[in-house]
Amino acid sequence: MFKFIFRRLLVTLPTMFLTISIIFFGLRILPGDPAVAMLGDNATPAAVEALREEMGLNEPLWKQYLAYLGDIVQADFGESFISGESVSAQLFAVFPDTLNLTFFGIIFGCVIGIPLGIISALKRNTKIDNFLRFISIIGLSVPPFLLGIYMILAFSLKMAIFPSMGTGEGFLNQIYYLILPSLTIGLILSASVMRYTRSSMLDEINQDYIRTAWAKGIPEKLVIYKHVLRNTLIPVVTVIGLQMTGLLSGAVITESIFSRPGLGSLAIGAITTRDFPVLQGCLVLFAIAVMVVNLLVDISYSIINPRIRPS
Amino acid sequence: MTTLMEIKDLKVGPDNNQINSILDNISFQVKQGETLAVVGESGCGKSMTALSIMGLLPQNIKLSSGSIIFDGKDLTSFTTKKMNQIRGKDMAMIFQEPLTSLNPSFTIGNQIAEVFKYHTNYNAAEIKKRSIEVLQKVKIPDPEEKLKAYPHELSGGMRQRVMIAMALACNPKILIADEPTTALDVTIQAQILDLILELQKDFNMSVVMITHDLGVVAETCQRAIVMYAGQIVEEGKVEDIFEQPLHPYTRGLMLSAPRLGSPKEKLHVIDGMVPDRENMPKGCRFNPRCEFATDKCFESEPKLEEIQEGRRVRCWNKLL
Ligand SMILES: Nc1ncnc2c1ncn2[C@@H]1O[C@H](COP(=O)(O)OP(=O)(O)OP(=O)(O)O)[C@@H](O)[C@H]1O
Ligand SMILES: [Mg+2]
Repeated sequence: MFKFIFRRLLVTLPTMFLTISIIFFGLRILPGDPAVAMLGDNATPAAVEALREEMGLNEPLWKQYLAYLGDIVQADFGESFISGESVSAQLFAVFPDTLNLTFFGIIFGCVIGIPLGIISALKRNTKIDNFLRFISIIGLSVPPFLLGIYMILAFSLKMAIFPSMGTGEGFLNQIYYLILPSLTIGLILSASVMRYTRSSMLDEINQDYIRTAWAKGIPEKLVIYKHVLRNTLIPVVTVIGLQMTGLLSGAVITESIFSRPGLGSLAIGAITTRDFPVLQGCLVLFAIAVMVVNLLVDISYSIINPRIRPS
Repeated sequence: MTTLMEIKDLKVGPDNNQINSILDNISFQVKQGETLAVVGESGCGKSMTALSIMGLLPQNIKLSSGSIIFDGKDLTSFTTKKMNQIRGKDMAMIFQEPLTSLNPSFTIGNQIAEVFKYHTNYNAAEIKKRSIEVLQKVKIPDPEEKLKAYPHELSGGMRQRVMIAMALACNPKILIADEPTTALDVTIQAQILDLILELQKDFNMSVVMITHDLGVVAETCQRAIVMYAGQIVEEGKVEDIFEQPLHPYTRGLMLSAPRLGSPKEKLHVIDGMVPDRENMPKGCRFNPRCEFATDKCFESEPKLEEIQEGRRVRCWNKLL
């Protein structure tokens, strides 16, 4: 198992390098001069030039690139152009918020999506199934920001059950503030989780080994919840893993709607001010997070699926 | 010999189409301790017959009439719950597809243990002991180690042995073996068949041996049922059927089976194809392929007629 993880990490390295490079060059191609963004449109060319020099923007690109790589290896993303604060410190301050949001989103997505998918499969082609599938299509087509706004309208403004913004203080209170935004992510995720659970389960029910389970005369509940469900969940876990990128970006959008601090809010702020170091830091951290999550998915996949478990 | 199971007028068809049935008035008996062969070409309904008995028909296929009397009770009236008390205990089945018939996500031990858990009162230690015993019975080496193995770590032959072990765990009265060796190597085939026969004697159970291999029938069975396009066309003792097949289809099957000693002889082929269910020929279902067909065969369908005790045939022009 340890070797498996190590090998997976090694494979991740080139991808990581490539992603980091793309982030660097991608940002330089973007129109807009950070020095101008900082000083405002009325700044004199001389002032802009001086600031560019100070920011290191006048160095040749390859020099900037090497310095950037060297810094990243040391987990140093430089200082914000705007506030002068250490980017790493800013990132580490807000990253847990984004992680929490994503994590609770996944939990909601599974808790809602998996049981509904099972019901849908067991009652396939009945009214219940059709209704659930209809709902899930809505879930798939609603963009997170729209759902977020509706959630705020319904649960914060109309019913006043949940707060519409902020993070809260103290553990329980923080969770309370998390519920509405993570439910937003979770509801959207649950639509695809439900659909995958349903089709995966229908696939499973017709497998030869399920017939064997019936032939043994073990109770129906055990056939469904042990033999069918275990194999049903394998593709579902994979799909959640594949959607991680989407989930994290969903979290980013949700953060700004609910005015929560996080990687997303930080990045969006940095885009408006052309704050390259902060933006770079956000993107790199985002990429690392996606890769780490994919690794975790692979590991959990091999735990539930003995066929690919490294022996 | 006493009758263990009696199947009467079984009719099975797709949910939405009861006219084109898959099984048409299947009736036969299984005697205590015998090995009964069910033979016929691919698609004639052998597996469907087996699955009907076990109550395991695919969801889109329903049993529309008939009865299955087992131990004096009609299984067709049983609920799933009641069936579950019999399946795996008094009545067991092994399948055509040994490679996919075990759940890939659970160990062999786990899957065998389930049978004991629901049909006996054994505690964990007894279950383990008994599981090792049944694996020994089916001659799996290192049974204790194998309990911890996952199906993908075993060969096809070994997996079929595990299936047999699971089927025989609770000493069933009847074992339905649906082409248990078709998917296996020839050398393994013989071993598995020997194993089934040996265990049959040990347990004194009845075996319904489904196969399209006449060699298997000759070697292992006492009586045989020949099926064609969802119907029984002939039934009798194996030696009678081999010596004097009465139905032209049975005769064709005999002639098309390779025999030792006459290797150069060209094999007989039954011309044509099995009719598909939507376009069953009028009259006898075998008439398009039959070399003995007369006008009558195209007009009306022959009944399955008992011409001697235990000898039945469905033909207007029996080869007497
Ligand atoms: N799920 C299904 N839905 C509809 N028709 C089916 C289904 N399964 C089987 N059939 C049909 O039922 C008929 C009998 O099939 P069955 O599996 O019993 O054949 P078989 O005699 O076991 O053949 P083989 O030797 O290939 O195993 C076939 O014509 C097949 O097309
Ligand atoms: Mg079959």
